Amino acid sequence: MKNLDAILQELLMNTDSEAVVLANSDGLPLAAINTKDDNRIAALTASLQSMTDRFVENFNRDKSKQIIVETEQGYITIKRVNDNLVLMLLSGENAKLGMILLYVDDAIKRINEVFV
Amino acid sequence: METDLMVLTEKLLEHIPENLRLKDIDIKVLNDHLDFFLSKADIIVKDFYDTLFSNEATRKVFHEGERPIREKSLAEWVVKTIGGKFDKDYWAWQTFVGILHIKRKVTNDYMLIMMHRISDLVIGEAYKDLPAEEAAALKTAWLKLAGIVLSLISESYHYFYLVAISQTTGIKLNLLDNLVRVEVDNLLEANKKYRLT
Ligand code: HEM
Repeated sequence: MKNLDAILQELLMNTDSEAVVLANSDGLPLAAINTKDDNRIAALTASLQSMTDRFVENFNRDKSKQIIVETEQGYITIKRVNDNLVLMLLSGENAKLGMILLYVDDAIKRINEVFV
Repeated sequence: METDLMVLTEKLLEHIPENLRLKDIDIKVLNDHLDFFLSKADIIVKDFYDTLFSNEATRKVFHEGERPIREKSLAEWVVKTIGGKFDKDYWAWQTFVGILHIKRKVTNDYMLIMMHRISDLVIGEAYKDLPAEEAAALKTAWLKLAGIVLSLISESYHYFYLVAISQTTGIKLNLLDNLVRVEVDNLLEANKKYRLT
């Protein structure tokens, strides 16, 4: 979808990120930029979101707000867009976490507007 | 995610083509041969466990001293099966037997090879003891039964294995399917020399 691609492209630029995928809860990619294997990354993104939710459930907490993986080469952020969609953003080592979270939230808002 | 044994069993039974299901005549043939099976139960059970215990991988499944209990449950399975009504409860029991074997890692390959062994014995004994026509009818009924039981036990093993992963991890079955799908292409590619042209 053109709108989605534009939102994801902007997200990449604004956050100094390298790749992004929007997956549905079955792990299928709806849109992806620069992920070498869209199917695999979408399925893994949805799985991590599901596993984190199940993990958190064990502590009687509400659903996770976001998953942030810190690596030597930068952050990987996974965040639920709505009940059926999840976003993964792979950022480079110069990307700032504050900016990432800010623009991810903005992108999520805009993605949800596409689906109303 | 279906976890009700009755409902799941009904769904699995729908997978079985009409001509491979047990007809009333097959059930009658089986029921009529309860005495034959009772007279063969010892042979079947002994052969079954002698075979499993003659091989290291299968012997290792059992705890020390467990064999007599297992022999008793297999004999019971044979008698309950042959004398039974083959109703919803019976088939759901077979689906349950699939789950039961997950705990002990009795994977489907063990199940398949041993059901074939039992079939071989049953058919051999039938042709030895019964008139040829009667033995042939028993063979047909038994092979249908063994096929249905195997399909329930093996699919139940596979399905509930995935259900267990799904429930502990929170990963839905559809998502598990997709995780598998992304890897299957790689497995096919790595082994493509086995492809028929
Ligand atoms: C024709 C195939 C088979 C049938 C019909 C069958 C049937 C059964 C039944 C009815 C039970 C349950 C008894 C109960 O309710 O307590 C059982 C349990 C068991 N079977 Fe089988 N079985 C088969 C094949 C095998 C094979 C091939 C192995 C091992 C290699 C095996 C190992 C076991 C074990 C270890 C248990 C105990 C499970 C537990 O911990 O409760 N079975 N089997």
